[in-house]
Amino acid sequence: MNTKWFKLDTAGLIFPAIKRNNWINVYRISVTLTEDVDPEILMTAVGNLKKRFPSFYVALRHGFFWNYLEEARVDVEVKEDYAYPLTHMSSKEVKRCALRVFYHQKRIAVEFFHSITDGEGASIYVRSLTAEYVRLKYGEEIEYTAYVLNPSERPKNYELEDSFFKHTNGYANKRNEKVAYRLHGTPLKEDGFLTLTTGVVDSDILRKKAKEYDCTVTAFLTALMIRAIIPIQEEEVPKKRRRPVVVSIAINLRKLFPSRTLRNFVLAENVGIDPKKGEYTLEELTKSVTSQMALKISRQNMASAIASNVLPQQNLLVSLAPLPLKNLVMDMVYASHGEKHACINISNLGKVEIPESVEKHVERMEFIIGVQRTYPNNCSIATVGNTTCINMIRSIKESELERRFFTSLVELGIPVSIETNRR
Amino acid sequence: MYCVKCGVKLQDGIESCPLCGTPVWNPDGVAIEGKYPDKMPKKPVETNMPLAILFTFLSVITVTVLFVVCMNLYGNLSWGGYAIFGVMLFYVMMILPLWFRKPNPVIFTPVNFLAIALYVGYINWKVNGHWFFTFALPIILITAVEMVTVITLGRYVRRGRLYIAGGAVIFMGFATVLVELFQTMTFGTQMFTWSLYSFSVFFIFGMFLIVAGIYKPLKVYLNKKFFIHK
Repeated sequence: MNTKWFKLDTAGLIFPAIKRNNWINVYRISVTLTEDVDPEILMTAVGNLKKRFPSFYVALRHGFFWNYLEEARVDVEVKEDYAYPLTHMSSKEVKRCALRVFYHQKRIAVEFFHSITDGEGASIYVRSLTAEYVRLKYGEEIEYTAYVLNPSERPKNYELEDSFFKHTNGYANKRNEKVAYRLHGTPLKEDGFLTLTTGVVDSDILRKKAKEYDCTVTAFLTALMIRAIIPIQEEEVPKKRRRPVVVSIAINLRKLFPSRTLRNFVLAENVGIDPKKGEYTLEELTKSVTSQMALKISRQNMASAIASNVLPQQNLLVSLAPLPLKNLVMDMVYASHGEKHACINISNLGKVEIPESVEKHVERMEFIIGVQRTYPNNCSIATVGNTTCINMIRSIKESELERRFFTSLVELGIPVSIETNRR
Repeated sequence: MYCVKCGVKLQDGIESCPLCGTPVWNPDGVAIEGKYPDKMPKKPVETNMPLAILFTFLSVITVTVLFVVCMNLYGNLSWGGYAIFGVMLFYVMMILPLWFRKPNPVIFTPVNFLAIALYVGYINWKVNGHWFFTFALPIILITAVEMVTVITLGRYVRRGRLYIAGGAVIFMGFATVLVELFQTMTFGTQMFTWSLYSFSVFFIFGMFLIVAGIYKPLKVYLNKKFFIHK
């Protein structure tokens, strides 16, 4: 098995093409332990996982026709954290190593360039890293599972496959979506600073509340997010010119298709409402979101969504185009379609299972996605044990969306405790 | 501690609510335990430096080779002068901005026109022309003034794009008349043979743009019918 270099997977293809001098698609998963992190042990643990996760320890390289990932020639950097998460990963850095590890007090944080893997793959890596760290530090016996991989085993073929090619139905979806409302605000003085607002919620209370509205937690939070954005648009746009309020939800395709890949296997679907059609109560919103999700997130519809991503790659003419041309075209398509149809992303990692021997050393786990190229807010959620962390990130000054979103949780009787990295 | 306005629980010791900005009363004077350290990352500077260095070397090599060849063959610059100054013109227009992270067009546009004027002046001198000061230079100057004005206004004035465009088009109309005037002065052709046509077209179109700027429904209608970006 080749573990020295990898073709980019279908979802990973786009990210090198759309990066900018000041923006790149990276995200972070962090684990907060019960004690301060020992950087030396962390470094050893990171090194120990290299053989098991060959597709993670890679650098981005350019071929003549396609980009590819190659085993990084340098060790993964383990550094003290910065004042804000997801600091810019420069082109130079991605060409050296597209994965980096930070620590601060009790927290281990890993940041991934999105071409390597998606949230699910990343969470398996972070859980395995935490387990290895706990094993080295406390001498715990680890029960290895499908989510916490044994570093002494060899990587499996199915972990390195591009599952998109296996589960396409060859019939591409036609997209016919309206341009959505665009959130915006005052840019920050400190260039590149990202303000993180974490809302910590009891997951049982949240789940019970969602059940009251007959929907899943993701659908419930999506409905609340839509409800928070509607008045922001109302305040600045006259009724006739209001645009749809749409949330782009990341969908882990492993839940629909039999795949255990550690590469990207995720697609996004847009769910939203048109405020021109009238006002919505929360019940109506949750109902609308749930039905839209049921309609879109079916195995058949997602297989078609996969097909629209896979088909261009199977076209010989497209394949033969030199890389710079491909990059240009992908960049243009992304600029005209990529972010036009949604106001914000919501990515819910769901309940992250951790073996008991590890969980007793873990306080919480957080999932943080960066801002989009054109929209300044994003939201990501992860649950460990009884704690759900809702992370809202922004590149602008105004905290209006965060305020509306989190206070609506409080108003519904869900206690929220707020943390931030801004002093 | 809780925010009295939002009702959310806050980190101990925080000065104001991160959501609504309401000041938080901190009776026990506890210090905040930061989730993140204060250290800011070093800004990685991404420049076009490598490209600039590469092209600087290539330009120097080309100019040197041309110079040596011409000096060897003819003992003077001969045709090589055009090529050498051509390379220099290309360098000023395309490569010089690469040295800067954010080249300001308000500065670089006049520089480009200066370079063009020098190059055209050199050709005039080389062919013993008598058309530079009365014909070529005024045209370059007029174009330069127009371009620099439009670029400066476009960069520093946020509103009124249509007025700027309209004004620029009308100015272009006047410029064609001036061009014919210089043509008459330099080459002795008859005045007002063609420039009035172009002037009237430019003038009417420019006025149309200004009217579209003033009369909003027309602007909206044009935007609807002719938009390019979705």
